[in-house]
Amino acid sequence: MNYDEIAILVLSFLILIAIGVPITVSLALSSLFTLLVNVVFISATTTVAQRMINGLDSFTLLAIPFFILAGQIMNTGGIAQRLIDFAKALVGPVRGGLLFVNVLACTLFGAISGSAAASASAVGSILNNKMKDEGYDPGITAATNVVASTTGLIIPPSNILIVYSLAAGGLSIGALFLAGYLPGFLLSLALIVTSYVVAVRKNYAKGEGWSGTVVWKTFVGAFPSLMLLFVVMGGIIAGYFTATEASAVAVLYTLILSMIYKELDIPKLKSILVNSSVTTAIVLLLVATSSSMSWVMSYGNLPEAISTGVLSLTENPVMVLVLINLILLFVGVFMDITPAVLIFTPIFLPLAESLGIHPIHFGMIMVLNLCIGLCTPPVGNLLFVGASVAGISFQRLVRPLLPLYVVMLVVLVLVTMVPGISMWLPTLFGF
Amino acid sequence: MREILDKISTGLLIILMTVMVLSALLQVTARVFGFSAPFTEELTIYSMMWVTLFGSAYTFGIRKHISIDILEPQLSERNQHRLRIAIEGVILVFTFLILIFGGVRFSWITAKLGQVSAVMNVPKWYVYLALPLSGLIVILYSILNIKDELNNKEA
Repeated sequence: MNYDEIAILVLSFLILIAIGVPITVSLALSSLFTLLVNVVFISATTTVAQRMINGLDSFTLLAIPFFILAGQIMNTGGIAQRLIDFAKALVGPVRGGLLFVNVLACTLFGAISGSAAASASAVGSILNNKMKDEGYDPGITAATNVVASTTGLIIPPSNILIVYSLAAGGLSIGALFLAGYLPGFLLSLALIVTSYVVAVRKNYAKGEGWSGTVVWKTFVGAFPSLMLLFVVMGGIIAGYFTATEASAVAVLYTLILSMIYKELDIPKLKSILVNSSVTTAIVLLLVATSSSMSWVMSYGNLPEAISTGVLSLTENPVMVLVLINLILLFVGVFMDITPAVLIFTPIFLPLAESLGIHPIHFGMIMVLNLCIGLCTPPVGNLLFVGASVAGISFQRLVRPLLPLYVVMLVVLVLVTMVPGISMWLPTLFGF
Repeated sequence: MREILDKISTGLLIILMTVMVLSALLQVTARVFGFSAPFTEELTIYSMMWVTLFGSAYTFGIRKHISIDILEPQLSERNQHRLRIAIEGVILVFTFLILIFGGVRFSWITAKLGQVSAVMNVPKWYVYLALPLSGLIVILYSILNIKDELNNKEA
């Protein structure tokens, strides 16, 4: 790839997204424009169409629509409410307890649904009003909700880890999923500690007294939902299911559960199917168009050029990781997480591997890093979901988010510097 | 017009999603009980491709594809209309060049090579035809969206 092509690729992409063209269209068109430098018009259009459809031709990708569907079913069924009740019985009595409940419920919901947006909207829509009534600042509530829901992308099952496994050339999804637990819980823990500091400073109310009976009762209520965790993750880790099969089973399981809870009828089911296909289309069309851009880049040998460029600056693994992290933080602000993972994994992973960094560890760094971008404007998907569920403008969220960005950065630094946080569980289970 | 298009799109999406789920569940059941249903893998993947493409067309219609919303709020109302029409124009360029032109040519090449799927023996160009077909729906939606903008401007 010469400088002209790189300039065309980057500039046309940036101009298109800046004026507000959908990102997926910008990806496809800037790939097409770049190809036109060396390839005749008819072949270039055909190639982009072909790369798009080939990017979708994968059995592994199927886990994504199924986890989205399962998440949507849980969102309308009584599952979220029961998880929140359990979280409330567990941590509600502390000062600022409802913030803890928010974090814990997002973590649990993320851990069984695999979708951060579903978790932000499910937990947010149930808790926001209640928290407002009890004197919590709506900005702080929504900010906590947004950041806590990113744990759903790191704690398995996670759609973005499936995308990463594909981009990394078929890394074991079981191993990646296991690796996600500790970094995800670390982030939840960090958020709970921060919430406590906020709650004490703002002198937020305590909940009702702690009661073993209530904990037990709500646990029994939440148990069938939590069981899903063991069916899906247990099945994948034991090698009994592939990720795709497990996700299909998750759909069936949540469907049956919602029917038992009597929260599902045919009109609701229809709207769930339509909403899930819209979310699926948004994510998978990004996958398709990102594959065409990623192909254009590797066709032009861009990954090698960037590797050589970075290595000529420094060969110190720590410095390289710092550099990659800084680039990804910048990318995450302007690009959604799915295209960012698909486009930048082929560029940075070989570089990281050549310096002895394990691809699973690198995946955790990358996903955690790009999660920060999901909570920042202008392309912060979760930020917008969180703000719209809370019914406030996203600008009001930015200030309460500032300390939480710092929390996420601290966790990112820890996960980057200590490979054990990511690698301990997969190693323990023999991956 | 839009109502009809919405009905067709959502109806198709509901059917495709249902096929996708049932076919995947059949595959798991088949494996657990030891009989074989080899067509399920292809059927599930192909329905996912169709959900993605036709779902995208519907998503273009309701303008839910992710985009950056920084320029629009800074403009006057009149220019906001112009910008939204311009964006629909870019979407039309993408649809014509890649989904329709590229999609038709890619399907045609695949048909000429006589490629069929490994298990079901379905000609692969049937599957790829979703590119131009979904493209047609995107064009209809785009025209409707542009028409709405023009009508709003007069109001």
